[in-house]
Amino acid sequence: MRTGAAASHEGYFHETAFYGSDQAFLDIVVPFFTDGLEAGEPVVSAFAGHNQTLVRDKFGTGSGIRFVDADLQYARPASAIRAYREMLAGYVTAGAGQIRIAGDVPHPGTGVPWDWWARYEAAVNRAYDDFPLWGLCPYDTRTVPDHVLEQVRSTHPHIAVGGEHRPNPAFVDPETFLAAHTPSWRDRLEDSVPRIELLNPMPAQVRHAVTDAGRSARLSPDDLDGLTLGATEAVTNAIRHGKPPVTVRLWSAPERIVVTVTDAGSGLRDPFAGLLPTDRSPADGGMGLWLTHQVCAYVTFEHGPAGFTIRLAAGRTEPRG
Amino acid sequence: MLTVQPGDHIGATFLAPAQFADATVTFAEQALAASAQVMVFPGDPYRDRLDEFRRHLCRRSRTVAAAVADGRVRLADSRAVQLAPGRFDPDHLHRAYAGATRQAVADGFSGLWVSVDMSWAARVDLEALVDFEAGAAGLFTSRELTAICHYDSRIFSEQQVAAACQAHPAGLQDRSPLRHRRLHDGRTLSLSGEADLANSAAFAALARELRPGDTLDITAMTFLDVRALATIVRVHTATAGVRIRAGRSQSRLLDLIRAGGS
Repeated sequence: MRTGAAASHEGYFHETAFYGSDQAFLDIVVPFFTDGLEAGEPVVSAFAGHNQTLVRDKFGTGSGIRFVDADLQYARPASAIRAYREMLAGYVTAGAGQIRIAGDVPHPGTGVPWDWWARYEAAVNRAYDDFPLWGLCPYDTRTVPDHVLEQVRSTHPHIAVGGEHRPNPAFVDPETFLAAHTPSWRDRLEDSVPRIELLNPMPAQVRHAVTDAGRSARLSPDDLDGLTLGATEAVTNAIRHGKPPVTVRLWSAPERIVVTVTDAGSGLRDPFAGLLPTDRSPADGGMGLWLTHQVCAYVTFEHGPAGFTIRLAAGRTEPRG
Repeated sequence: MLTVQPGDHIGATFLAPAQFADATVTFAEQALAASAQVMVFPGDPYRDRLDEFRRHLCRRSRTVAAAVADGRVRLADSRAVQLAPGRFDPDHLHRAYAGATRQAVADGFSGLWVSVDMSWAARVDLEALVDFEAGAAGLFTSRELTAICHYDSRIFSEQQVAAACQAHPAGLQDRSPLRHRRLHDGRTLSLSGEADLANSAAFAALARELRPGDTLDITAMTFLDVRALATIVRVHTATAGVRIRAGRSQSRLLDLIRAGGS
């Protein structure tokens, strides 16, 4: 059985709220969790650092709230979707009528680029719609840039304001949002001459370029392996599904590597590409993009005059834009 | 650049007969160093002028010239061997290569190394040719047969060359070619090297060889792209009793694909 504002709702009740102080944060989150606990619903707190401490201090131990480490849960959008879907399926199997989750979605104010989290906020309207979930995504107006706030308003069909839960008139259908979405983020390294530029390379040449660059960068083996796999998939997809010429550029800095793969084609048609598991056969390109999103530190798509570009990064990306 | 090892099945492309001759000489020198016999099948116009092509090879390498003189390097006409039945016949090809390999070993060589201009197959249905090339892995398992198949870019289109090369586990530019061996237990197929777009059909054909009770060991592989990983997941699901032996990071990727495909 659903409760609260989501009582008559089917599927995912995706809500945002804005706050500018610790007290305002607690005013939003505490009633949301309290009502869920009183109704016997699974309640999950997936906030980062300071906010998670505020919730812990308020509810104490033994409240029944499940605390999830936001740094792990929100490491990457595609892995967050996978982990949440598994968690939600478990709760539903155990008989939950509604699950309440509130958490901190990363953004430039928390030190990471926003673009793929914008895609996440749009995509989850479909990805979690199989479940009786009430998800609350509060954003801190003290740290969130204006363009992020605008996209938060576009991706949440519901908004909590002053204790009321309202339909959000600024909400945009996720397919429409994603089709129009253009990433604003480019790595600063891209302003310089690339370390390597390859024209119509085979995947192995790109892998070797990444491996060579990795020797002089301080990256974890997992991070470098993720970029190697992602760059291979991007080039393979460009050769198989894109249009020549395929141009691969690589930039490196001591703590990160950025690779762009551009082909002259029109790019991806699936607005959820990379974020949701593909319905197609695992051997198709959709699985490659999805896996790339699971293992790469950062991925963006860009449709531009030069064609379609996939941008991949390993290491610590800077929140620029 | 590839260092050829016994049992390699290499796809290559060339633009002029001189390139084919150069690659053949390099290949033959490695074969002779491995005490193998070499068979060379030139394309047109040298199929009718084998002596002239033989002289080309001998001029390029004294080692090869000496081996030509004593029969360790032989030249032959593909019309009389590959196309002996008068048409493309995969069973005939299989028998011909297996028979010639056995003969070379019986004659005291370590094996047979073949360098062939694939122009003889220019009119063969591409899909049938790719199926044959990709499905030929069994010929190479004992490592007594080693082959380099040269596709002429003037005769085969870019797409045809790409499809044909994907049916070969190794390419001339490879640093880590795909190699396979059957362990003595006969049930373990052990792979090494890399699997990606460049050898996708060859990898898929190897995976299709797995039978119930077999073990596929990929721990020695240095890279598998998502298509190759998905192929393994599919074979594992579809063939009862096939076991996969994989490293930690490989297992993590296989698990992710299982999660994503469900």
